[in-house]
Amino acid sequence: MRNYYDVLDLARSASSKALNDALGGLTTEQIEEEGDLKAIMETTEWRTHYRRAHLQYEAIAAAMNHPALQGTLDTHLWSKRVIEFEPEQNTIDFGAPGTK
Amino acid sequence: MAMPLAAQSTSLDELPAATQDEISRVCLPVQYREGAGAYRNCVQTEISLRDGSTNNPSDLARLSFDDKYAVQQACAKAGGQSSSDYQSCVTTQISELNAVEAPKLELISEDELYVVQQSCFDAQSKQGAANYRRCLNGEVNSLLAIPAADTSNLNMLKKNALQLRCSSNASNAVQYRQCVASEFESIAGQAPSFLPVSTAAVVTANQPTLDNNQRNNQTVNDVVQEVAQSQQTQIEPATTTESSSANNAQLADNEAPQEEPTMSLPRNIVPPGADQRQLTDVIDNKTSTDTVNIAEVVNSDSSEQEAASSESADNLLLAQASTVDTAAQTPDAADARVISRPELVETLNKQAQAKAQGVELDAADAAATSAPDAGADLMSKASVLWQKFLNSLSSLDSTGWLIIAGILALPALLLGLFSFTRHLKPRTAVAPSSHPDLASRIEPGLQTRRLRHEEQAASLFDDESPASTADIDHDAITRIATKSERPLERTGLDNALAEDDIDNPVRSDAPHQSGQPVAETTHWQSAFGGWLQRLPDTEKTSACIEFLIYWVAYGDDRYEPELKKRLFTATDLSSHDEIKRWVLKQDVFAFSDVIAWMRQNATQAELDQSVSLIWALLVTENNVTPVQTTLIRYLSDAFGTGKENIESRFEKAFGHPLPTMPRTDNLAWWAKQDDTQVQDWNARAIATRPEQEQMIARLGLPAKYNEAQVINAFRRAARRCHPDRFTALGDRERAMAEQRFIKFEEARDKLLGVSV
Repeated sequence: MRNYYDVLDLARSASSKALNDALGGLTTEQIEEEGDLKAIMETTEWRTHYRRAHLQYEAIAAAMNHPALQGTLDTHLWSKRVIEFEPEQNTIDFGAPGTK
Repeated sequence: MAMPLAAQSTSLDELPAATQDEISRVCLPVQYREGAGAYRNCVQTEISLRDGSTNNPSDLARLSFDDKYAVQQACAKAGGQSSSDYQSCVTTQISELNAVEAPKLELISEDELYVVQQSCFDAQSKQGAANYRRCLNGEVNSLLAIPAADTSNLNMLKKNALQLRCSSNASNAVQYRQCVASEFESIAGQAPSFLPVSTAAVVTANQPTLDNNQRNNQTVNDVVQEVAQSQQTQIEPATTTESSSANNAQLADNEAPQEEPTMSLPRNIVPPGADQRQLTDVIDNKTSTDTVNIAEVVNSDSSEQEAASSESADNLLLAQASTVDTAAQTPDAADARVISRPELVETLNKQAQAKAQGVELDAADAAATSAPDAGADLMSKASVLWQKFLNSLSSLDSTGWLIIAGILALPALLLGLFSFTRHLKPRTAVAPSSHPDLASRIEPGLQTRRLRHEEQAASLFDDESPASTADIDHDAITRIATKSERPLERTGLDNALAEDDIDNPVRSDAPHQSGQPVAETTHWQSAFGGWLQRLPDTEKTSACIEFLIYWVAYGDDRYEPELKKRLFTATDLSSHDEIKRWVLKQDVFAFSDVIAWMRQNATQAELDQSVSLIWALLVTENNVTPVQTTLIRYLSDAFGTGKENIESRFEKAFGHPLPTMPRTDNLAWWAKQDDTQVQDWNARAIATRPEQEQMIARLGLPAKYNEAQVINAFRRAARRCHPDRFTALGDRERAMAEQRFIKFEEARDKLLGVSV
């Protein structure tokens, strides 16, 4: 799946105003290159579902980067589907139980 | 213009009864097919034709119904009825028909006429009108050559019985008349008297083409008369009969042709009342090759076992009566069945064998009836039955024995197979439902049956893992719980569950027991991982499942904004609220930590059933959101199930396939989506609709639904929520499924108008 927020250089939680501004700032070349981006992101309903799916792809990308989940099944070709979704590593070692 | 109906009726009534019947037969089908007007026109036309208003000499209307049918059948392929080819064909058919003398059908009885017509039906429908008439002539003349038993003195009941018996046994009119003669005594209780056969000579006198028939019929007549006379004679002693048999057998051997001749099917004429049963086979003259007329008499008096042996052919008396010249045979002769000499011998051999057995049984019966006391009588009857049983066994051929052996061996084979499969696989632990109340509401008696049969079913159907158990289509769980099956009071567990089963799951007092040891160290990617690690080991799996449920639900924004605000501002949160908060923060690393922890620590059954629980609680039939599709597919890989397995399981659970991977970034994919469907992906919007529409959406029904659809959707939903599908999970998870089931019950009842 395409990561349109990444193309627009926005966070998934970006406001509507920021999104509209970013869409308005797209060059003709960008619009032609990202054929479906403008239509998807400008249509409220489509954008809503795209944003929800975007979250899941980020989550899946995070899971696939988890050291404990290396080598799991990939019958749906997730490694290719989430290639544009690379969340930053945020590993936190909380140590033994009971510590905070 | 059609004649007024009253005038027509008058005209029709004035016609002879036979003509009225004829017209009715022609026009009644028209009435049924095309209505009263067409019927009226048909009647008028038929009457006009019979009045001679149409002077066409080849007019079909002048023919009898049967002749007309034969002509029409013969000309059916010539073209439409108005075509010249068809008319030419009709003219030719009628011309040929007129060249053949009309059969003397009036000389035979009505039931014999029926048999004659049946015999010639093939000629009537395939060989043209002239051949049909020849066939009738042949049948009638053959029939008239045989003396007919006089049934005029029989009452209607006996006459009908006789006709029924013989019409079912005879394949042509001659056989029918012979059957009537032979069966007469068994029904009437007295020997028949025969009508004179002189009519046959009258009928056949002017038919040169039937000379041979006449000769043969005369031979048949002689034989029959001879048999009939034998009824009046004293029964010869057995020794005399045997001697006669031997002489006749010798004669038969001498006169039998060296090559095996073909002979038509023997016609059994068994003189009624003859203690010495003689099987007389008369060969008719309707063969396509050289045939012989043979009157065969079986010496039925021989009570020796030889009669039943393969050598019993010696007991056959084959008397060659005459040779038939086939040059002048009639066309209908081709229909006669031809059998070979060995076949004939075999047939007679079987009859002799049966007769011999009958003699033995008769003797045994006689001994039984003469027994002085009841005990002996009983023993004798038992002996007779045993003898009958042995006789039945002795008459079995190899196929019969094989079938009996198979029937006897089948239970042993099934038992062996069952034992083998039981030992082949380890027994599956039965996990009884912790919610017998729910189970009994879904299917009363289910628990008992499952406990009784689950082990057997598991071993028989490779149902080893609890996950597989959960995926069985429980056809038994299909009956709708009725009002009477509902509990009068909600359980404490029910009451503990809040209205929103997703947002307010309850924690069971009994901690969930995971089957796997918890991993000691984990590289957590989120703060949630640290929080999870501080939970008691027995609660970690439940917390992870709860996280996933919220994740899937909130992925579709199934939460109120007020909830988000409260959770983010509160300082003292319950463990459930803690989980919700991490989900609402959309912490993708928390998600990955949950997946990782479960993958490392949960059993495969827990993993599989977690997915089943997620879709039981959140997924609606025919309304799977893109988020749900994506996550279900991802979890199938992360939990080691795989694409094919998850698709199969989903289709079993929902009755439709799992949607393909959504492409919300693609316009082409959006173009394929139905607008109504897209609106239904918004759960919060559905909650604002009228109650009826909410119930429809809950069961995934179309806007226009019927009762069967409601019932079927509910049954599938009930299967998805059945507690036995979550035996590897904890009480809390099963309680959530139960709460969801209650929601489905509510939707079903409201849509069906059931008063709860």
